[in-house]
Amino acid sequence: MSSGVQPSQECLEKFQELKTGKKLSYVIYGLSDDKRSIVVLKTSEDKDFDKFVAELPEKECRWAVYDFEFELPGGEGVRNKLTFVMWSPDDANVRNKMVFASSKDALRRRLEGIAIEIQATEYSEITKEAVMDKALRR
Amino acid sequence: MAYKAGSIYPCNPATARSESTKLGVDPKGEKLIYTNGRAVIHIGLSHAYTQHTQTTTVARFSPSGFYAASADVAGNVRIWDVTQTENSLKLATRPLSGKINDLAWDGESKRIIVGGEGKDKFGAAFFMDSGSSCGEIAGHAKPITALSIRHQRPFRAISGSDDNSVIFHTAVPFKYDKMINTHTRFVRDVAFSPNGDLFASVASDGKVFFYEGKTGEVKGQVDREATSSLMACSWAPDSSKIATAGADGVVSIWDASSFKSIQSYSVGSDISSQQNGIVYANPDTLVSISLSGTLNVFDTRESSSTKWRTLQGPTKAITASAISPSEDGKGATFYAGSFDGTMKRFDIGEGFGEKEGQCEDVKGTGHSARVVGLSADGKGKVWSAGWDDKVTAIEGESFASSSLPTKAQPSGIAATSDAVYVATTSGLEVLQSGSSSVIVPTPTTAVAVHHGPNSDTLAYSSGKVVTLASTSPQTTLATFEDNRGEVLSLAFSPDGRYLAAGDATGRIILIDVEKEETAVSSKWTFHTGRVVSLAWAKSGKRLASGGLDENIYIWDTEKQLKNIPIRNAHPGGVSGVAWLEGNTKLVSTGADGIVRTWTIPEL
Repeated sequence: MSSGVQPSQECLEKFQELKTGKKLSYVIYGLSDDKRSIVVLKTSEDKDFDKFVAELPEKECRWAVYDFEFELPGGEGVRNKLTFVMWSPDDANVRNKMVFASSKDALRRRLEGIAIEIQATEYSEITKEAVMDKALRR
Repeated sequence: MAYKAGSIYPCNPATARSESTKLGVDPKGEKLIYTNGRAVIHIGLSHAYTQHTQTTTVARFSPSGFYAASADVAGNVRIWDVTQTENSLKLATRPLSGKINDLAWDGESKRIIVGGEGKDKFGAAFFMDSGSSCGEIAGHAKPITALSIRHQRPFRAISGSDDNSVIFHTAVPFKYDKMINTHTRFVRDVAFSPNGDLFASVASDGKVFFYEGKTGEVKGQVDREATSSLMACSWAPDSSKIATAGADGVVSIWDASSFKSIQSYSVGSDISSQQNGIVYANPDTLVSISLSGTLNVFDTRESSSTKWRTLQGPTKAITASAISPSEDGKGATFYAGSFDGTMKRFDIGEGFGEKEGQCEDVKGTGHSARVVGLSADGKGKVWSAGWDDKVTAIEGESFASSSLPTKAQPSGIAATSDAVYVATTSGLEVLQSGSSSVIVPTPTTAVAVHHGPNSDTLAYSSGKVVTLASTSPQTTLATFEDNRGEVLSLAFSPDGRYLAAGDATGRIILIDVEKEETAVSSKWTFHTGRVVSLAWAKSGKRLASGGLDENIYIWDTEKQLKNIPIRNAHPGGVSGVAWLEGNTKLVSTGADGIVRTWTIPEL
């Protein structure tokens, strides 16, 4: 099922930085211009969830790792969970979506420590409530 | 002690087409360690470690030499003491939830990393005394096939995977450092040189790459024309050369500074000569394993590239066996056949001196399918029957040049010096002077024969019924129905006085042949599974039985209520028992492919 597209060195480096450094809040991945490899498109230290969602374009696919911070019910404290987002909007080009779906594993399997996985095809599937729901489930 | 375990003749490492076999060696360079089935074998000690409940995949000695760590297909790792015979367990843990392909110790014998196919991760790192994590082995997209740790500071680790990449990790704690994409096909083996200066990787693209040990920078690749897969690599103890095992059947030694070939041995070009594993045991000895299961031992001091020693051994479960005393009285030869038709022989007995216990392949064309029965005819020949519907004879070291076809699938065989009886699914056949005829046209499950001066006494079974018959004139003497299940094994005592019959439910009955009545009908029902092999000691008073329940029992005709159990003799089930000269030494074999000897003093 794999497409032969491989992630670049930077992809795993930025993921490690996010995981252990605790400064980066999210990393956005996409395909390189020649469509042969997965590259890092943007990283940010901004914790705001809405700003993160704003990074996901309307007509293009993206993968992202977001350090989701939330409060446990009952005021027990604040927790962080790494979320992997597969953003594949309905309006995106079909060929683009196909390459994205078949290349997802090449990236996803190399990232150890992901607690939540979200597959979103429109903005309503990636609301803060939807992510919180998955975060609290376990 | 009711019994004492004697020496074992171990199986060879398990091999599989297109898979690396991991061979390990102790820090002193004297003992090999490898796995087969549920056993971990270390040559040099007289027993196998069989505490794993699942098929084992890899075993490695610790650099200190005190412990061995072994892993299996379910992800379990057992760390045990290798210096004492009890092999006491230090730690049992499950770092991955799937098959572990490779395991590596760090230089201080404190930490272990494993790689394989887990549910959500492909590798793990933990402390050997507590099992608690000491980092992560992450970054691969497909199962990890090989691992290695740098034994000098700064500590580093490398992992090779089916995703064509080698990942360089910093240690301790183990952390992803960078991805190395030099290979274009599955990476099969990675190894740090013993001095830590370099590390190498070999893959199915046929290339060997060298990298700087501390930084992971690529230094170069070996000058190799062939593109066939390289399945394994091993550094020489002085770190100046590396040996590789190739799927083209060639074992090569490369110089690590000039990247050129120093020596190469061509083991063969057929599929069974594909080299699956290699280990540089000590500066003078290189050991590799072929797909056929043969261990090839190369003496690197010799300049000839065509001479080396081979060590044979069973690699699969043994399905049939028989013992044939040697004519010169030195001892006996034990023949063991497997479910793939391969046949091995072992010379057992002190009279053989240094060659005692060495395993050899039986030469010639044997069987192409499961060997289902072996029977010594008392005159030096051993007859064998297989599921290729063939009956053939073994004399000494090789098979006879001709064989006889059977009319149906054989299930058992019994031989005398002038007739061979074969039990088949459609009847009992007798082979005499080159021709065969069916003497009983009902499906027969087992057969035994006692050779007499004028005629043979024959015993054959059909389902639960055991029939005693005479061959000339051909008459039925008596039938017995005391077994609870299908009778699978029959054996006459050497004097012909008794007949023992073992069945699929675990019951063994004893028949008095002269009186034509059952002497023991329910007292000998101690086995909890199929009784597949029965053997009488020379005195005709002791009977040994081996069954699928992994146990061996020794019975006594004069003390019918007493028996001596040998529990868990062979993991997977016992498939054959036979007595060596006398009444106290027993040899047995089973699904583990190991031949074991036991001494059971008389009560």
